[in-house]
Amino acid sequence: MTGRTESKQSTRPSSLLFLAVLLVLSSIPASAGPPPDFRLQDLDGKWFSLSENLDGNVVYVTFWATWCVPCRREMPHLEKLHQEFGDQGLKVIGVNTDPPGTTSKIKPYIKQYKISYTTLLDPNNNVLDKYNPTRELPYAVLIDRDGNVEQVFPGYRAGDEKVLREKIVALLGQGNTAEEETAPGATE
Amino acid sequence: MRPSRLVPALATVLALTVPTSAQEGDQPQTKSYRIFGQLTSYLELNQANERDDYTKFKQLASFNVEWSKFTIGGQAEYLYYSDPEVADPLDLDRLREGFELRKYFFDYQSDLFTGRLGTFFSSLGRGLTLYVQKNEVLGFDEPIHGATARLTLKHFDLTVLGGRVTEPLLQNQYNREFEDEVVGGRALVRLPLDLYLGGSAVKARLDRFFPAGTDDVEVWSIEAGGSGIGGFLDLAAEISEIDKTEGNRFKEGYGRYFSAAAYIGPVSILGEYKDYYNFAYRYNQPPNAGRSDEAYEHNDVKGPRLLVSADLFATGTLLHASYATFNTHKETTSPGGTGGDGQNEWYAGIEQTIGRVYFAASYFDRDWVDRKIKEQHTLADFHVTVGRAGELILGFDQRLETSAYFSIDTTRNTLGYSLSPWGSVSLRYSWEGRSGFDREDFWGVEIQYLPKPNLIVTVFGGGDPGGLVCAGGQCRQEPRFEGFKANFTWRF
Repeated sequence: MTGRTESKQSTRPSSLLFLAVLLVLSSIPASAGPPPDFRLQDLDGKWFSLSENLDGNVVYVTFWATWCVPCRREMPHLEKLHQEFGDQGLKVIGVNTDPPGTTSKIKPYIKQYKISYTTLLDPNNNVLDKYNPTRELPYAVLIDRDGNVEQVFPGYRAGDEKVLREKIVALLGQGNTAEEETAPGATE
Repeated sequence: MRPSRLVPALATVLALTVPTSAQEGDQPQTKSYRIFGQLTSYLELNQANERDDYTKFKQLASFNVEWSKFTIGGQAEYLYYSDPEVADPLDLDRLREGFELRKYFFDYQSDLFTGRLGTFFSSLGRGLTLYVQKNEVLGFDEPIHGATARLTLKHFDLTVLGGRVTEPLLQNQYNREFEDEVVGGRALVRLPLDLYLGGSAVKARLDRFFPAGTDDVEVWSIEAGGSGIGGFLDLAAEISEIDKTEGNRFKEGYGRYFSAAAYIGPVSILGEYKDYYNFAYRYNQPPNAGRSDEAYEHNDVKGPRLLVSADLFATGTLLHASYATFNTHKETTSPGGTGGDGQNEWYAGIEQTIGRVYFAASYFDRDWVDRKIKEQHTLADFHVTVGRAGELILGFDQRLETSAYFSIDTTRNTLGYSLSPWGSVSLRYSWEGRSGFDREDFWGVEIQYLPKPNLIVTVFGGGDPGGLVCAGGQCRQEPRFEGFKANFTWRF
């Protein structure tokens, strides 16, 4: 069978190309700048424009879905940050990316997790496609008071909320970097 | 009007409307231009069939330039197979090769008007009349090529769209390209007390696989509902009718969807009723009758579902439970009611965080009453925080399908460690047991590394049994895999 020999030979150029791309791009720093603007409706059908909410605020936009377990784990931490820093200029915006057939399940979900920050709907994923064309969730961007992207947060791992908190505190211009004492929802 | 004529007409309307709407009550254009995008490289050395192993390489480049209220963007793809003839039939990428501009668009966005020329995804209402999305289940990404526009006034919302869309599943099956046309729109009026009333209509011309020709579809719906009624109730209803031709046959069908959600203290209760008869066409996807990751065919199914979720003791213990029962209309229309395909399903789950420990578990159970098949799906995740930013993860995912004649057991066990913000390492041990065959074991290791927040490198080496894998909220039949995969993503 010749397939095995041919495939092994043809592996080399694509592997080398892959490594070359990796090396080149690893040396390029992350860029900053304003995030892609969007207008989406919230759960009650009211319109929300990102650009109209950027002015002078620190904004955290996170894309999530009801089926996404890491999203579920991140949400209580975001609610806690929203409660703690909301009146100091932090805006947390959750953009739900579930398909339109799931719309009825989103509000019960929000209620169950006691989420009080803004929830928007992107059922066609056209906004998600601009921010993250490969659509892995969760995916979030942190935007500073000047309206520029400070950092992107692909995925969620336990401990990411500490990194996020430190960034938010720094962007809000606070000196208090105390860590969260217990995880949200804890029943120690 | 034929869709092919309507697309350029829509494009013209869109182009004419942009400068007008840009002057109406828009904010000053103070934003400078911005370039952003994503580069993704994927390499696969597939050795699932050891006599015919092959290499796949896929490069995706997404590029957007945004200036003021305008965005121009696109996504280019380069695809290479060392031997497309031996590539897995479930891999729809193998239908393409070489360079292709997959997506392209010109966007305008203001408070009053949004419009796009080029490629886009769209759905109308709850997906009863139109649903064109990236298909995560089957792994294809085919948008509409055309134009869409949306006018938003204080109490009125109008969307129109039209274009061509291709169908890779049929192409895969019949080995030739299929190209369809869709045109449609939706209007919605917002009423006092957060109520709404609207409707949508779509006309589609579908490329027929045999005999050569086209089939026509006309589907419309009326929708109504409201949120926060009485401070605790959300209601939604959508009623739809469909007329379609299939060759020289004419078919009529309908879709009905109702939902009511109530919020009482820490408890949320959602009730849904679906009734779809002769309702499926290539580009609709109404609310799924089953759990989101346990989809049903929506052409002929009816039945209710009840979902209750709660933080019952206000201690962070999250509970959810659901019960549903479905059948086809043949239950009542066939002689003696013998043509039904009844299904009863229930599932329940719990989620709890206690200090450094997070635990989540769920159990799903479905009985296919007429087929006499039982499906069970058990999930359990156990996470322990280690140190300041580390976490140990234990995962269990078992899917069982049993009947009097066969049984299939596909189980995945995961042991992982993640370290924020750098990435994770996962060891996966899976097996597949089929009645009458020896059990097969699979080992795999996945490493994800984030040298910077905008760079992600993922590598996987080893094997996976494939089969029905539920991830991303949907389930897909994944091919059995042995070999090596690497994925690199850079966002800029």
